[in-house]
Amino acid sequence: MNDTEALQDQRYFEDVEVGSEFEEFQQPTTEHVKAFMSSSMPSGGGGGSDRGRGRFSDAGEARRQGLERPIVPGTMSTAMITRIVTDWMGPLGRIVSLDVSFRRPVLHGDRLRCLAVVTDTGGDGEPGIDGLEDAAPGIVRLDVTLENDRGEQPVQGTAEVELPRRM
Amino acid sequence: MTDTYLDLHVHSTDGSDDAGGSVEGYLKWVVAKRAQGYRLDGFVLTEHRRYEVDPERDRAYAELAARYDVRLLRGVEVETDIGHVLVFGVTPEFLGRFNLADVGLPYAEVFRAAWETGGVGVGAHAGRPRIGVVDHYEERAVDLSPLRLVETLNGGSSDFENARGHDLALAHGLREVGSSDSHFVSALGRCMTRFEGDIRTMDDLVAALRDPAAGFVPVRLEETKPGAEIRERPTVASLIPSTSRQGELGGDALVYDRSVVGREVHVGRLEVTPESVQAFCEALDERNPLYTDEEFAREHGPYGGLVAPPGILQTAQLGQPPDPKVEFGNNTFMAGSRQEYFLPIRPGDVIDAYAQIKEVYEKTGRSGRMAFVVRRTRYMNQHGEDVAATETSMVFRQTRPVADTPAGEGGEA
Repeated sequence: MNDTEALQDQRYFEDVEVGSEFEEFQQPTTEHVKAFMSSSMPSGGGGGSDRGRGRFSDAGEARRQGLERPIVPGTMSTAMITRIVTDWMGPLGRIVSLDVSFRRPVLHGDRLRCLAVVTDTGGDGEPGIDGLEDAAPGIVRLDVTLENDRGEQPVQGTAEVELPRRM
Repeated sequence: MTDTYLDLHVHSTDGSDDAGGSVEGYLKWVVAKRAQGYRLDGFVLTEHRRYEVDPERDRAYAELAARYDVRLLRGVEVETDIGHVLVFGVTPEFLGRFNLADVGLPYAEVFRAAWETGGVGVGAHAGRPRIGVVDHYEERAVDLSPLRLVETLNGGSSDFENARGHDLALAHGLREVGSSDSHFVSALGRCMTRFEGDIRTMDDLVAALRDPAAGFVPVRLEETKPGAEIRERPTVASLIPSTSRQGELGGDALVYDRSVVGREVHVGRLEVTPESVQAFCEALDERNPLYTDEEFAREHGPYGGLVAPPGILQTAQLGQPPDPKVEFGNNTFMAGSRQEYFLPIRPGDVIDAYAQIKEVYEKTGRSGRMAFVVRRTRYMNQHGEDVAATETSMVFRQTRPVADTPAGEGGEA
């Protein structure tokens, strides 16, 4: 890849407006989930146990645990959310922080709209409020959401991203 | 006559642990939505279980609100034995009667006290399992006479849940309001209440809500555009019934080992090599040249050379922090995560991970009581600098098997 190609998807701070949206679609299947689980090494959760991991792949086990269908692991939903942020910002962007909250399960086969919405562009309301020099990267806040076709938003979060400025 | 569109139920990072939207972020969002042609005059912050009498904060909010020309008011959302209740017109006298942090306040007294002290209570997200009044009415036939108002159009509820609330209001002559219940900036205004007349202050709002003759209706954001119609709200009968509600599940008392909270231990080490970065990028189809193209990274990158994708930290095989041995419910789910990146990670770095159980706490949700365990992991490089930190929140709760009937609405978390 040459330099021009690498930067053609770069997003710059000056071009970002509050309210603008960016979307991608994903449909994680059972095969996708199995591939993800074999490639990642989840370390078992926060002081909890590994109980019930069958809910990620086995329909019967999922139903025993109160779920209509097997669910997508939270780490995979986080990866999908992260991906929309990195796709949106381009190679020179930097994720400062990413908060994700799981409100309902993501089920295998759910068609998901992954949505990023710009909610804040740093010192927009008050120039200089973030103390950044003009040449320093600009800070942008995004709301990030996975939306299923039942109109639910099972995963919601916020990301804080640094974008380069056009020189 | 002027109408006023207010979002009556909003959570912010200033006071709600599960919110991601800042007050100023919401204000900027109002400005952006107005520019798109929607009506949104203001909103009421209703943080969970807390309300500080704080003239300093009121002044700061008033100043911010004026800067963006938005009406910004404050109420509170408390938790009672019939679900959550929004209180508007909170006074020191009201606050003196309750400990707002209590998650099982006596509802009749809350509504009565709000009224007697010049305010008003609203049954929040009325149709949501456990935390709305409908369940309590259907299961225990609780006395509805202390209630005058219910929130039956809630931006965080499903259509089915909103319809349950609407049905209750129709059957018992309760007034209805709408609000977003937003925790994130872009959800603000998704649902609101349209008032006939000008509502500028909390006194105006309380007066309207207390007045049986005042005109107000729940509306959705898209219904605020000029010429848009306010549609009729669906009833339960008009929707396909759900078969997958989990219903009353109870839950045991939260038991855990408090002595491990806050004790940080070394849980693993990750050596970041050019080869491991390459393999990670190939596995995830990650094509950012900052990770693999040395010349590009040196010429164009902000760090003067190659860096590693932050996600590489997730590949570390980590041990566990001390186990708090939580005994609660029969199942665990991931409830949330937070990642913070402080410094670039570079090929050649040796990253040590330290983890601790940050906190264990309890709250009520749609499936009853839930316990949360938050684990924090800190990643430090060979220079002793923290490069990143992650927090993972696990929820412990009760679930029961799904019956072998066809699926209706999806599960719940």
